[in-house]
Amino acid sequence: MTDQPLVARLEALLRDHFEIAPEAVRPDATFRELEIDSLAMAEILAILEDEDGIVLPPTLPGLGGDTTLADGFRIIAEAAAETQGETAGAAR
Amino acid sequence: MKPSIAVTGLGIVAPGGIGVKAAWERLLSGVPTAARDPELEGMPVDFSCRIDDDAIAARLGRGLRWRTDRFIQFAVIAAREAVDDAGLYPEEWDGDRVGVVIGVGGSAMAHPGEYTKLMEGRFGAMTPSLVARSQPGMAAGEVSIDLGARGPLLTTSTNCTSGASGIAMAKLLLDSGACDIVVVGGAESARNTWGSAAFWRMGALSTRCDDPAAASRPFDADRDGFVLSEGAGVLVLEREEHARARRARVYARLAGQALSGDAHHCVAPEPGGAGAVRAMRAAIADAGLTPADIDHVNAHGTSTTLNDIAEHLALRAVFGTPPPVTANKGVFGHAIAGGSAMEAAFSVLSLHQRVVPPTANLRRQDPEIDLDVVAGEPRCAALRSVLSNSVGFGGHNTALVFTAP
Repeated sequence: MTDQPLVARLEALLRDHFEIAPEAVRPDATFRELEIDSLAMAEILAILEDEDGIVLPPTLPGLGGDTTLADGFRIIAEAAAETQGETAGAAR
Repeated sequence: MKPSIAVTGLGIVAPGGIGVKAAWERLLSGVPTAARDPELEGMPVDFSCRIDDDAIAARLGRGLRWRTDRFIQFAVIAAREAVDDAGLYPEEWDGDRVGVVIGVGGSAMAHPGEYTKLMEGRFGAMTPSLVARSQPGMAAGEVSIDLGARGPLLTTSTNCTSGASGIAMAKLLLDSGACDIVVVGGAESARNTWGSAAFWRMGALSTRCDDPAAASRPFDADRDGFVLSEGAGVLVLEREEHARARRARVYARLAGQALSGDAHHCVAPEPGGAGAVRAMRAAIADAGLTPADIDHVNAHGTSTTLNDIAEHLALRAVFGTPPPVTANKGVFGHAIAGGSAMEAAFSVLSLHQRVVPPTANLRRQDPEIDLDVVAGEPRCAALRSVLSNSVGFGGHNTALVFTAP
């Protein structure tokens, strides 16, 4: 089960930051269809780090233009959970 | 024999007037656009000539804002208007024969937040769009992408003359046969915190914070510096033969251009305006004219003490008794590259509409400046040729001569 607050956050980024029409932000849409290229994907990851404190690797395996939003959000959420766990572990 | 170059389209994004019609009407009204700028609150100079954010967002459409700075957005909007105004359809044209030249003076100034992240070592939090959104060459790049123009792609960066020098270079591209059409202009947004602090610190800005609307007053005895602004101007230039073949409206001809350098001082003009004199004389000669043929000068007129005196001396040297002069910066402030491009567009409109716009805020002309400066009301005149003069830091000078078709 993908982290629901994070999904809502990513959907809001696509609508508000990238100005994608709300009706186009569907789970089965691919990033390519929404014109989210590798630069835009890096922007998503930078915003998560800057504003949400979620530090992710610069690239995520399996995340590309043909990835659907549902799969992409899951990959980002899993990577976030992993790095947050590491951060929490380091803190202990 | 050089081909005749026609101006067939205009686009302007200016404070108080997005689109050629609105900007031209604002200029003719003589009402200044300078006002307190919320983004500059608490700074030594807290006013500017600012373009409304919502109006830009509405014109630009979805999806481009996240990766482009304001100067790029202005360039794209003005270029679309100019191409549409020229009756050109990017889906139909031979894009390989369409060039894009956009002048940009400086950029990468509007990102104190990104520099803070850099200083804090928060590298992963830096936007990956920083290069794509801020480099001078990205204005021409984004215009080329937006229009599907695949011909020569060029950026001119000659400080305050960057838009005018771009127009000069576009003429060379057309003269050489490298393309049939050039979408050319200049774009800038200098009214950010960096610009306000940096230009203030060097003593270039008006500090009339208690009355911003009266701050930009070219050729006036009480001038005390320029007012930061933003915007873009774009012209569609094409070989006249090409324009006539498609039965395009021809606003004017770009008959002559010239550039020169002062080789004098980093930011002060040569006191007698000798560099500007050489550029103006060469542009008039390039047009096959003599100074007596020029009916009107659209001056650089920044409202700084040094510029306006030096420009006056340059005009006296070239013309003896110069024709009627106007300075658009009284209304729109100084938009750096955008300013010189807009002023070229306004020069074309003066020719086309046979009217010289007034210089705003000219209440008491500097007694040292012996020029016929048009002020108060627009002045109607049957113009056959107009010279647009631009000068910039580093001793950059550009002059353009437009003639009636």
